[in-house]
Amino acid sequence: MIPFFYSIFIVAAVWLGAVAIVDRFKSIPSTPLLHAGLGLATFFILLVPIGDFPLWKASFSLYPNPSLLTVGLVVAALWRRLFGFALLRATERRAGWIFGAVVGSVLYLHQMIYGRIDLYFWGWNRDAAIWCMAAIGVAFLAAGNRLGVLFLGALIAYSCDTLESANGWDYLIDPVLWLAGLGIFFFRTTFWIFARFRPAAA
Amino acid sequence: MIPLRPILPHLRGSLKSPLPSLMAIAHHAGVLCKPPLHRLPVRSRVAWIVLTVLTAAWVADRSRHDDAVAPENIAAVDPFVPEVGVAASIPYFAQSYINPPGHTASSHCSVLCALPSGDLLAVWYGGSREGAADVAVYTSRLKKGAPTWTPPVVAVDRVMAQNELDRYIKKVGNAVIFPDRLGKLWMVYVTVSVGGWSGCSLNLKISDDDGHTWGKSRRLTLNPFLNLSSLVRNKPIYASDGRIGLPVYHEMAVKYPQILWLTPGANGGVQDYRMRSLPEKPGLIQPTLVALDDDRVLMMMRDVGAQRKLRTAFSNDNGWTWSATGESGLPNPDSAVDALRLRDGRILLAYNDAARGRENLRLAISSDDGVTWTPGATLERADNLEFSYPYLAEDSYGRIHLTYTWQRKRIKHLEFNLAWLDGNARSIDAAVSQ
Repeated sequence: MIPFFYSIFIVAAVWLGAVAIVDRFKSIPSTPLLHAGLGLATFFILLVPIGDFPLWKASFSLYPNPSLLTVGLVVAALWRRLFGFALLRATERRAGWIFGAVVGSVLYLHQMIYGRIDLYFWGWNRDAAIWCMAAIGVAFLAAGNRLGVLFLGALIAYSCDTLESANGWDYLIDPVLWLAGLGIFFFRTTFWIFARFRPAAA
Repeated sequence: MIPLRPILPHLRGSLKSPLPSLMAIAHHAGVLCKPPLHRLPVRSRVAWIVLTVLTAAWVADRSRHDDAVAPENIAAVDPFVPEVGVAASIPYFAQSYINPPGHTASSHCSVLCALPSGDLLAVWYGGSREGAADVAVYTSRLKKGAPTWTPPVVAVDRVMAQNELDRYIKKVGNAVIFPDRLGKLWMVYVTVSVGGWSGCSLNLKISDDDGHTWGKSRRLTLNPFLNLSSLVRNKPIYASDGRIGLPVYHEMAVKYPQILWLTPGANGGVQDYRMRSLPEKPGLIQPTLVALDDDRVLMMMRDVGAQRKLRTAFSNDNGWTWSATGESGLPNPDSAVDALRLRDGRILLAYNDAARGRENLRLAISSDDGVTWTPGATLERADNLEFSYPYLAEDSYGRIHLTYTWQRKRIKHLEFNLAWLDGNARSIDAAVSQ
C-alpha cells in the first residue's frame, strides 16, 4: 500500500525544493510550464535509483510518518510558489513553526529532563489523542488561524489509521517539523539580535 | 456559517473545470484567500469549530477500545507447558550445539521456544560478524523425541526485511519468538536502517505453522523520534485479558527498559500495541520478566553503568507500574541474563558471574521471588572466551533448556531437569560429568 501522507509530503517537498532552486536564477522566467516540468522532474528524482535505492524509499526508511502539520505547511509553501498566492498567512505559518519547536521540544526531550513522565504513551490512548487534537484545532480556529484545519485533518487521518504509526502524537508533530521549527527560531532570534544591536550608521 | 449561495455555481461548474471550481469553493469557505489574506472570518471559524467537535465526537464514538489500564492476572506459569513426566525424579543433563561448526563465523543472541506440538524452536542471528550486512536470523528445530537439531534455516535476512518492509535495511539483529494464545508463533526482530544498534526499530512476523513459514514483516512504531532505538531480547509475560507484555529496551541518548504491550486480534496478528517506557531506570537494559503470584512480576535488568550489578524491580499490578530499582546481590558485566519460574515456585537465573567480562556462565536460584539468590552450577568458564546471552525455557516434559552464545561461534544447548539442578555441584566439572 502506498503511504498516502508520506507520498504527498515527499513529492511536495522535492517539488518545492526544485522550484525554489530554479527561482533563485533570475534569468530563468518562472512560468507554469517550467513549474509543470519541475513537477515531472520531481517524480524522476524520486524514482530513479541512486546507488541501490531511489530517494523515495531511502527517505521513507527514516521518515515514514510525516505529521499532518508538516504536510500542510510544505503543501502550502509549494502552492504559494506555484500559484503565486498564499494558503496561509505569514503569522499562521509562524504559528506552525512555533508549535513544532515547542511541542517537539517537550515530546522529544522531556524524558531526558524529567524521566518519570512518558508523554508518548498517552498518544496511544485514542480518546485522549482524539480530544487533544480537537482541542488544539479548536484553539487555532478560534484564534482565526487556518492551521486549525490541519488539526482537523490530523484527527480524520488518525481515525482512519493513515500513518504507519498508531500513536496520536505522530499525527501532530514529527522530528522534521521540530528541527525546522527550532532552526527558524534560532535563525530569527539571531537575526533579531544582530539587527537590534547593530551600531547605528555614522 | 459557510455561505452556500456563492458556492453553488462553482459546484455545478466543478465537473467542467474541477481545479478552479474547487479553489473558488475553498475561497468562499474561508480556507483560501487571494492576497491580502485575512484572519479566518468569524462565520468560518464557527463552522470549522463545529465541524471539528462533531468529527472528534464521531471518531471517539467509533474508537475501538482503550487498553490504557493495567493488564489482568498475568499467568505465573507458561500456559502451554503440560504436566511433568514420571522421569522427573531422575537427574538428567545433556548438552549439544544447535548450529553446526563453521555455519557462520559469528553466532549470537539465541532464543528458545517450547511449541505446543512438543517441538523446540531456536532462533538466533549469525553472519560474518555482529552487525554485518550478511547477518540473518536463523531458526532450527528439535523435533519431539528427536536427538539432534535440524539444519539452520533463514527466517529473515536483510534483503527479505527490506522487501517486506519496503524500506532500506542496513542490518538485522536480535530476535525473540513466542506463542500467542491462538497457537500462532510471533517473532519480534530488530532492523537498522541508519547507524548502529541505537538506531534500530522493531518488526513483527507471525507464523501459522509453528515457525516453518513466516508471514510478512510489519514495522512497529514505538518511539517518538523517528521510531528509533527499541531492541528486544527476552521472553514475554501473558495477561488473562489477552495482552502480551514483551520486555524491550531503549538505547539512544538514554538507555532504559520498556514494556511493549501487544494486543492480539481475534483472527491472529496484532490488533493494537503500545509501549510503556521506564526512563526512571536509566542505564538498565534488556529486562527479563518473571510472573509471580498475586499480580506480581519480577524484572531483572542488565547494568550498563559503572557499578555493574544485576538490578531488580517489582510490579504489583501485572507489570504496568514498577517499584524503584533494587540490587539482586549478583554482579553483571554489562551482559544479558534470563530467568525462568520453575514449577515449584523457585526462580532459576542464568547469568555471567563477574563484574567484568563474559568468561563464565552460571546458574542461580531464588526461593523468595527474586529477593535473594543462591549461586549454583557454573556451566562454562574459560579465560578470554565468551559465554553469554543465556535463554531459559521449559519443555513439555518439564525439562529445562538453556541456550547461549558459545565463544561467539556457535549456539550451545543444555537440557536438564529439576533433579539435576537440585543435586548438582557448583562446578563445571560436576555439571559436565553428569
